[in-house]
Amino acid sequence: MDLEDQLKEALKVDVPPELKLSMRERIMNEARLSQGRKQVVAAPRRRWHLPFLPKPVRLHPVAFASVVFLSVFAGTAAASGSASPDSLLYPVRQKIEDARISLVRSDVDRAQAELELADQRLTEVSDMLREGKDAYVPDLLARYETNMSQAISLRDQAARDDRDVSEIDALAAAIAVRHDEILSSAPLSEAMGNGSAGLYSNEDADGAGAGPAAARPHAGNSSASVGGGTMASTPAAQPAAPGAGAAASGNPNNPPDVADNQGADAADIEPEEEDSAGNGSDNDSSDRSRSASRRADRTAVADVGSSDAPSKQKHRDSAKRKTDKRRGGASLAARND
Amino acid sequence: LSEKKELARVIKSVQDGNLEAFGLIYDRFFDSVYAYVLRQVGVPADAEDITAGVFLDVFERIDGFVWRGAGFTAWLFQIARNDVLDYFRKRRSPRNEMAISEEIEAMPAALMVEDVAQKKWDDRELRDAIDLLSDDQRQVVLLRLMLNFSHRQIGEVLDKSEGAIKALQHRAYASLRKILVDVDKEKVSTVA
Repeated sequence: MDLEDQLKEALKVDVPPELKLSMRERIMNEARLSQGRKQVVAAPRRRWHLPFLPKPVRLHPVAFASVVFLSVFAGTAAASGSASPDSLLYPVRQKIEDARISLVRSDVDRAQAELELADQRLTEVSDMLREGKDAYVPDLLARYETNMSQAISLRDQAARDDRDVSEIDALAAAIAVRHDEILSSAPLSEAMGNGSAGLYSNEDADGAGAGPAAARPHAGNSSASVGGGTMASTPAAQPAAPGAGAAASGNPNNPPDVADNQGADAADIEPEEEDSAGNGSDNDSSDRSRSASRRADRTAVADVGSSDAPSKQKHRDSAKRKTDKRRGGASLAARND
Repeated sequence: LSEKKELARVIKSVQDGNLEAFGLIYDRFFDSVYAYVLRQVGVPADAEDITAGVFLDVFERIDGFVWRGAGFTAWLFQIARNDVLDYFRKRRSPRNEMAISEEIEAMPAALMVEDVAQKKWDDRELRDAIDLLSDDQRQVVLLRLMLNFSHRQIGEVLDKSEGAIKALQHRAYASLRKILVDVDKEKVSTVA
């Protein structure tokens, strides 16, 4: 017998049949449990992708089913997807938007979705103004303020949770700039002349030097408490920068004439900076004056509506810096002259 | 070939979630896996635990198995080898500490007596001699002599080429002869 055969013999192992049997039962039971765990773990990994949102969003199956119901079975929903504000289907579209937003779980994603809706409202405002359908504008702006308000509170919540909100800040600042651009180029006199209360629902027509009362950005009680043109326009008066005044937006569904407490708390508000443009003394450009007064009002609303104004001012400044950087700084600087 | 096809069918069935098919894999491979593990760890209770772990690892990873190279058997014993290495790592007693293969290889060839290989050795002495080999040499001996693996299959398990496995086997046998000669000399001197 050579060495190799001896080694083979020495290495032989006799496996008792009962051991094989008992081990089989043990291993098969473990495998069964493992299979169950695999199925349980695999289930939550399923991601339900909503095509109308920019990023894949993880949804609870019930929530997903709701979306499917809204999207597939509600015939009007599909038709209302591109409904303009003067369409009969527009209210349906707004309800769908609200439903979609409510299904997004992450604060950051939800804030971004709100900002995108706010931007969409601005597009609609622009379209309505261009088509001379000014009557729709106040409601659209109220919706805009609501979306911005939601976005900002979600953004603040995300910031408290140590989430990265820089993209939200940049987007909010860009939308705020667009908001001002649209309103500053709006034919306000026509809007007023045709019986409309102005672009924003008006509740305070006696703001000193504020230009047209239509420049009031909010229809709700909070904004009504601010003394109109006494607030100065400042470069920081970007309306939708994170933490800014949209948080104080009133109920957009309220008619303009239900606002009360007008100017009641004006004495409590400390103006941040004086700006002659905001006082209406600059007669060279009435448009610019109106725009400045609108910004002033929004700044005031921001200060009233927030309990942590310094931190929100910091957010505004940060957002403004980002916007300036993105836009090369020139155009914004010119607007703030 | 038909056995290979049958095994492929069983594996596919397990991948599709058939637990009974996994039982067939267990029946087919348990003896060899258990023997391979027991010969290395030496403690039956530990060998049982490690063997159970090997089969569960196989079950959990089989979804990712793709038939290539030496196939399923080599893949399974690769898992078994890693589990045994983990066992020694956790016990902080790597088998390599016992191996004196470098010293063995440095021993002069003149000590190799041809009839040593023809002598009848005690099983215990042979197993102790195998334990003194380096890990790679020991793996080649175990897989080749216990489980009749081809050089290609051993290469898959150890992630080495066929040529490297043949060289390892040659050195392993040479080392074993040297060890056994040394053991024989010790015996003679003890008796004297």
